[in-house]
Amino acid sequence: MSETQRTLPDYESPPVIETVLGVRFSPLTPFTTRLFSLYWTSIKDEYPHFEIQDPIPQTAEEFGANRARPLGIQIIKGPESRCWFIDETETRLIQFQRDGFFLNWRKVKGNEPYLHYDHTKPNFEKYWKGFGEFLNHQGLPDPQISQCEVTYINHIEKGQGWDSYGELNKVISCWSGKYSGDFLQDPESVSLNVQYVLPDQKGRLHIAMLPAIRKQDAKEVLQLNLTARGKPGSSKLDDIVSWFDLGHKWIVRGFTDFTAKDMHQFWRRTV
Amino acid sequence: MTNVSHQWERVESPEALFDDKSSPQWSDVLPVPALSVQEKGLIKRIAELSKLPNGWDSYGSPPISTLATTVAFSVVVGLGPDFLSYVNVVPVSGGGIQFEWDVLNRGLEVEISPTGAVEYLKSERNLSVEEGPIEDGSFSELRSLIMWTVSAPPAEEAA
Repeated sequence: MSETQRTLPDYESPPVIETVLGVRFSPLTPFTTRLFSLYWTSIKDEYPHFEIQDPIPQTAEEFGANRARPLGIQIIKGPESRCWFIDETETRLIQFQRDGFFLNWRKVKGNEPYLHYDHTKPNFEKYWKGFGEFLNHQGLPDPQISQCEVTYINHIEKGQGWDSYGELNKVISCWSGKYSGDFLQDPESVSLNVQYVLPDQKGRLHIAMLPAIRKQDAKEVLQLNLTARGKPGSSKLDDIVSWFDLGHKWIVRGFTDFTAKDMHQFWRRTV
Repeated sequence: MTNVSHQWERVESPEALFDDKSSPQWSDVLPVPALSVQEKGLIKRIAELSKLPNGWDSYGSPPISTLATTVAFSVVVGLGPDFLSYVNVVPVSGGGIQFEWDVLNRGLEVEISPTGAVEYLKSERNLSVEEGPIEDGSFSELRSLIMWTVSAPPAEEAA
């Protein structure tokens, strides 16, 4: 989609510092760490660096009776680790673990232009197709998708539209900052966790805000994470991408509703 | 994201505080519900030191390693403001970072190596009296060392 075709809210200078598109699937079987190195061979030209990380635990959006299901112990044979494949600019990352595949884009210097969804989505399609072909070539079946996930991480720097937690109403539209009485003063710190159900229980939008210090430059920020997660119609690419579109729409519109209009001006809203 | 608390003993290793990779997030931040002015100042200082270029010491030292920086951040937040008086933070040739306490006739150096290992050196009247490693997550040991340093008696009393 070209810039002129964008219909969702758009900003010239959004506070997004990282985006993630990813899928969770049934654990690949059989699985050996050799798959990491074999897969790396296929993308090494573009992603020349790798790191080993602990795996991300399975998270699934459940509704109704399933939601109350107690957590069980999952015993899986095979290596439990996650591989990071990092590009030369350290702005792009592929994460691969036995039951998950994620593509990240992030800012490193801080002044890089925001990489729009119109670019990250086709990028995911390209690497997901390649990943499927790789698995098939290794004699493994196509992954059975359990969840799709879209995450946008925003850093709202202190001093850029807000100066204290008493001014949170300048950032968060539904935060009044007013008390019923006059006993409490400005909070020292504020963290928020809010969830919204997507239409037809197709998943949830999670909004989490926490105060943080960015390691890169030690600046105080409000980190605002928006994650949309849910089950696609099937494991086919079309259904995955269709779910991403839904998740992306909820993140962009959710972000715009959740943040204050004055901040939209600060981020130079265009649509 | 892991919650940061000053109850260091609950944490398995210094890195565990800030290197929790249980989400697909890649960018590094310190989740800090409430930092004191002292802690913020030290974190800023460490962030500045982490940007030192190759050869910053004129002898070809590499920059401060990411691991040393991460552990240094966790030392600041893990110790808490009560234990951060009189402290100075300096870079160490080879890619490490060092916390230094110097109170009257007592001194304490806590060096974080480029690999993230932590060692201490206690001194009294400029003479080394004890040194050794600090195990991962042993903030009680580090606090005891700081307490020993900051409770130095005045010079005439010590003599």
